[in-house]
Amino acid sequence: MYPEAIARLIEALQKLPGVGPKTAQRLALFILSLPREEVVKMARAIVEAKDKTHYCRVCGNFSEKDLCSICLDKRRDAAVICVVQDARDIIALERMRDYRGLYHVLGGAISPIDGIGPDQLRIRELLERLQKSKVKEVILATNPTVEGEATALYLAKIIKPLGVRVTRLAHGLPVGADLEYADEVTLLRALEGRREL
Amino acid sequence: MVFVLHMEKLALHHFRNYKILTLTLDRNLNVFFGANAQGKTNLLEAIVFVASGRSFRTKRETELIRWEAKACQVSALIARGESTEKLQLLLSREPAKKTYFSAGKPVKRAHYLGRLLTVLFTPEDLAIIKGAPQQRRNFLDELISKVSPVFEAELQRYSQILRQKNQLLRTYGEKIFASPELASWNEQLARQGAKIITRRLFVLRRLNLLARLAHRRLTQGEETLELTYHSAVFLPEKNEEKEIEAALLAGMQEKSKQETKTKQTLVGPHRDEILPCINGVNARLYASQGQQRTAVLALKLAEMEFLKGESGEYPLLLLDDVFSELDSLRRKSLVEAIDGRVQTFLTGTAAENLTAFLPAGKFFSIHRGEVKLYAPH
Repeated sequence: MYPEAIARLIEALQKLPGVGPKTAQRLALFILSLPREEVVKMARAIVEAKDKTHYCRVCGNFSEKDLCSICLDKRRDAAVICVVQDARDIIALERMRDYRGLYHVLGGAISPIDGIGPDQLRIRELLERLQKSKVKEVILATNPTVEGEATALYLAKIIKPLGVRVTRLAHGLPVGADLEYADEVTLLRALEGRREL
Repeated sequence: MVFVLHMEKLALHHFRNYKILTLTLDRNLNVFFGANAQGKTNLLEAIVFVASGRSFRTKRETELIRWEAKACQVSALIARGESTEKLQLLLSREPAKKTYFSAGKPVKRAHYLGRLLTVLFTPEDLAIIKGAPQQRRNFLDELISKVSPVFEAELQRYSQILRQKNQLLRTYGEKIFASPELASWNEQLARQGAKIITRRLFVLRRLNLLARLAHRRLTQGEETLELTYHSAVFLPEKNEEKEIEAALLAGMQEKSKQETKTKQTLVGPHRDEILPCINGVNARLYASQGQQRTAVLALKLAEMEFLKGESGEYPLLLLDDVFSELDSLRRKSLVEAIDGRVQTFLTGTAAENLTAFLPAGKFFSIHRGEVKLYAPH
């Protein structure tokens, strides 16, 4: 079929998430149609991103240095830590530009079926942070899935005895959208979590 | 005349043994008769499929597609008084995918389901009285799902939590006892379990009233049917969700040693029993075959009335091979309950055995996937 070099490229591209044989083939042929310098730039970007990206020693966020830009930022409130499952959740939360505290990345959620327990997550590191610094509040921002919820409940159980305030993100309706477009489960959760005015 | 929700037309394309079929239906009664294995039940299956998106006979849905076809489609024209609505469900083989249509336009599953409700009664339904507790839980859960779009999602979430907790018990056994990890799964399971039990108790109270009434009519006031809910924990009188949650959590803590030993979850709605009793006696164990049949019929009639109460309209009633098994008194009571109110579809082997008891309607003879209108007598 394809010469060996192209076949190898297609095979490599297929390892990407959401890319099947057909898409891989299309991407490979597209890459071949690019000027050589473009291709070199792309290949270099991949290798550099891999080589230069580390995880922040404290919070687990993506970082090029020992500590990430958020942990280094003196203007941020070190008394509040927001706990998330993945580093990409930080990007989402940072987009709102309203949260001034620090983060902690767990690297997943508790899931016995996948063999993931508290020891497989960065929970010990979180407890060390709570002991070392004066944290007043921990915000649990794990996903509202069964696993994310179990992780939040677990963390609440072990953090509360330390005298730290523990909060959880609310379930709710998407802001700015019409009520009629919300799905039934989201509506029910919003109804259950209703508040006094 | 009160208008009845009914199916005016049913059209099948490559469904089971039918290539193309369009039936104009009677608003009161439709009888499909013929020898076995000719395709009678396939028609009932098609009606349930277009209404609920599910087959009651198989989990492998591609079996519904005629063998050489790539996809099958069932369309139904539904009439409510003056207005009509067209529902269509398309199922493709590769990839196995369902597309729901309303008025010819594709719509989301959640917006499609619930527009047409059905009650199905087959000989296997005897298991609701006779079978294992799971059969009765399924009966009640499926009934609730017909009127509550979120209940199915709540059940799914419950079983996800349960699977995770059971895996934890299997992996660690007694080592996990009294750990915060187990406690956090228990907490979540109790919260979700309470949602399910609360809903079940609420619906069961209404269903009980209706079933008792139907059953009294069927037994001419001689017997009383009651379904009682039994849980591994003592359920608080008022059935408040918060209280049930607390009771479940306490029960899980109490049985925690045993759970970590046996490596399974012993407390929760997945273990509960909904026991049918006739005159206070366990009908599952001690009722005669005849009494059990009457009880199932009463439950089905109650289901119909319940759906009417919740949705404002009677569902379609589908009787697969059960009418001929009822004695004359029960046939009469059934006909009284449905005539002129509920559009009914029934299957049987011979038209002659059925006509004597049935109200006016259309009779269809089925032979090897060929459907012919038939005039009795």
